[in-house]
Amino acid sequence: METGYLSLVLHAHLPFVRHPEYPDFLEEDWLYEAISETYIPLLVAFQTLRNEGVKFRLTMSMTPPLCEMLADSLLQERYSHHLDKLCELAEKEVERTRNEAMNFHSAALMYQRHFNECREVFEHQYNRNIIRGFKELQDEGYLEIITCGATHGFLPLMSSDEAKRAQIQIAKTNYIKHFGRAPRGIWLAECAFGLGDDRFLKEAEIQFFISDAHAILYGSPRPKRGIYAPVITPQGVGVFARDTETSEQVWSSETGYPGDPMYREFYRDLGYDSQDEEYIKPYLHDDGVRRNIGYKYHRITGKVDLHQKEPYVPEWASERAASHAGNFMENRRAQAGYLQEKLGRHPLILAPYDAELFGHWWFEGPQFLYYLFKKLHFDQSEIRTISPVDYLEIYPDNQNQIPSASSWGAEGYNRVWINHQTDWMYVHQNIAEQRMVELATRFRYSNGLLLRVLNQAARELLLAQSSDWAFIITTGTMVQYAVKRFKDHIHRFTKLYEMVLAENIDEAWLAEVESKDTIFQEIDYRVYTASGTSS
Amino acid sequence: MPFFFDLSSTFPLATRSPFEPVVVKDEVPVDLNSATEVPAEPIIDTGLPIPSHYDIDVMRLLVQDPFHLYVYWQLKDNPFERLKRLFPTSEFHTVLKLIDETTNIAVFFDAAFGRDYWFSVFPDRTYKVEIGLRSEAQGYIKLMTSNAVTTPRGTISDQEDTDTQYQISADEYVEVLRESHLVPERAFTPQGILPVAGTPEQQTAFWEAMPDSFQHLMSIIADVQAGRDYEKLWEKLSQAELTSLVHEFLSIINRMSSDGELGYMLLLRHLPELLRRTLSAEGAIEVSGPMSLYLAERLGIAASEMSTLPSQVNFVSSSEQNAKPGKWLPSMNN
Repeated sequence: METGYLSLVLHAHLPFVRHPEYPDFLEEDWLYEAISETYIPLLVAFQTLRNEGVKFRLTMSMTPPLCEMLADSLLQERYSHHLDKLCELAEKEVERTRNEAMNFHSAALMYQRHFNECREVFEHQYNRNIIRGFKELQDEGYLEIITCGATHGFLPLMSSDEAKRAQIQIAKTNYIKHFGRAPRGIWLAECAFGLGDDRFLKEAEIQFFISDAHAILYGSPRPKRGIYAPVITPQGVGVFARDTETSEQVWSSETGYPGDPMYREFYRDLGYDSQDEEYIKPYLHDDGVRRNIGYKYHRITGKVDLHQKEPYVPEWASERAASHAGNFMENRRAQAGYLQEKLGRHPLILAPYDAELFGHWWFEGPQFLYYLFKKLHFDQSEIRTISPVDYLEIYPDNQNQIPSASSWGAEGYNRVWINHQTDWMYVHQNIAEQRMVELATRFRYSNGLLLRVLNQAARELLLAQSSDWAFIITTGTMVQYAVKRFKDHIHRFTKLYEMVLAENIDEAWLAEVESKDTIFQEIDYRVYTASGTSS
Repeated sequence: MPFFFDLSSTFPLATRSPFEPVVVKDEVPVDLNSATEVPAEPIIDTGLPIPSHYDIDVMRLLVQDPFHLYVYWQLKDNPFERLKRLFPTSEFHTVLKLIDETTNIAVFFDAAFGRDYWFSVFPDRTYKVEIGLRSEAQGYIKLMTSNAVTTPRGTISDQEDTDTQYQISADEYVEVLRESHLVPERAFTPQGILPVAGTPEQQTAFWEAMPDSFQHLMSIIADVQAGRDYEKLWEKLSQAELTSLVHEFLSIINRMSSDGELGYMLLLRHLPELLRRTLSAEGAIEVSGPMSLYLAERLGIAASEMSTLPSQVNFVSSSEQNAKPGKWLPSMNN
């Protein structure tokens, strides 16, 4: 007998990183690693489930910058090259471990299979654009793909309605470009919700968004069903809050699954471990600096030093992923049974995660999901996986509430994005927002060179607004790159703005900027007018 | 660390995740003998230049969390030039006026050299900031006003649904919150609301030096949290200044729950006010070092020249710390 619903939500996002001006760019690796370790393994897991007749439903946000990168021919070409190198290394590693290090051999064979499978999926199955794979699964009803602010912009720190509306409308247009229909839900960047932001979602006909628990728990009036049923905002948008218990089970370092001794250790990597400079050099960046390259041969082992880690055994890790999936399922069954009695209706347990947790950080994560959906399908009948949009069809009547302003960042509000390391950014970002509205309003009709400048100005503003830059600066990793990116886009925006006002457009410079910041070729800057319409 | 993720939340997630970056360079057996060529230092790209100043009038107020606001401003013309012509003998200095629109109370801050400022404020109130000039002779002249913002409540609502199908009793609500894993002890600590700068020893010394009524207050909070007989505990705080507030708390708590948990959560919203009154009643605030300056800023919001409270907590004077707005705010250091 069915007692409740489980909604897993994977948030897939990377900031737009594309540097045609350099032949080799370190930060582009983020995308390549995520494709090999997360996006393709997830795709393969979902396809396998489908082929085995498993019914499942998973919600996934694929952000516009991620989609734009996955569909970009330069990055596809570079990933293809990157993957060829990894496949080449796989052959050498199989040989090397057979001869010198038999205890790592099964892992080497696993990498050989893995990277060759990546190549098969990337090159042949989807002709280098893996968005098609996700779209296919959405069209078949397995995935509900939702969108996100155009560049993962943090809405509560934007200075105008126009700037917020543009993030949503541009995202919607871009979603239609990649997925062939309008999005029904949205992952607000960083789950950041400010009072009144639901208006822009309603305008875009978006039916729901994901929030942190306190959006609902601290909302007004008090939520009768806590976080196990959505609330409806004053503008009629559904709010689905994350279940912290379920989150903790997967995230927590103390009790979470990914810290299991059998699982792959992230911080031991051949890129560092190889003793043979000449052997490893072709697989490092041009600067020759030792970095992770994705060949990891050790398991977590336990609370031991990195040099005491034991060899990774793929079969053991798979078994552990299956048993963790079983444990996760049993916990949800118990939780749903208990909650159903309390709530008087089926609870919805919503568990959102960064997609890149699965595969990149937790190497066995995609296998865990595979086993979980399989077990849910074959081994029980109490829990059904649904998407928030399905819930709204099952239970159209929900409590009206004004959710609390909130985010999923540390402490639950805006501190991760606005603090003493990042406060200097907002004057620049906000003034660029005001200036973009000014340009769009003043030059509502444009063509030729002016049209190009105005569209490029919108792209530069959007790229500056990525919440990733402030996040990176706050967390203190790769700060310099984040500062560079923010300043580059503010610089370019300011120059474009001044060129328009001075009626003196440097076409050569414009063309260069257009060739670098290529995101949203479909953009129409008139989304920044007060009405937000482009006609 | 190849990418970056937000692993944390306001709710009971682990403080440290196994996925956080660790420095591995020292531990990994990489052979760095003399034959290894050390790569040249890469050219550091710190980004293209951005404007140091915008020649426009703008003032914008942003919310960090229930207790902090950030304001920045830009001025098109130097206002001093014009004022000098109008009032050649008066000496003006730049001030910020933080206006609590919910209580209609305002307080001034010296803003001599900055273009931005951090404020400590209260949850669930609407604020605006003005920038203006002040002189002994001419008083305050407003130059510009920011947008208004409302700080998040930072805790549960005391509002019940008017739709009967969504009404629940206080006891049921406590249960709903528990099932939703809201752990009030993690949502709030007095130190979180009133953070103190300095070494751990200095912090301990600071709390120990607090007046008796403050210590009472802290024990009350602990007792309320533990679900003890809070009603009698409130009576311990008998200063006249506290009476009205205490009664307000009592009525809320009585209305809400029998075990004190909801009342405890509501303290989040009212505690700063209670702290302020406790401390001002004790006369504990002296405007001297950075610590008391910080407290004065935090607590002074309801004690400006427009209010009737004692003058020692009134006005944050110009000082070295204030010349670098925001850089010393203790709560921002971590």
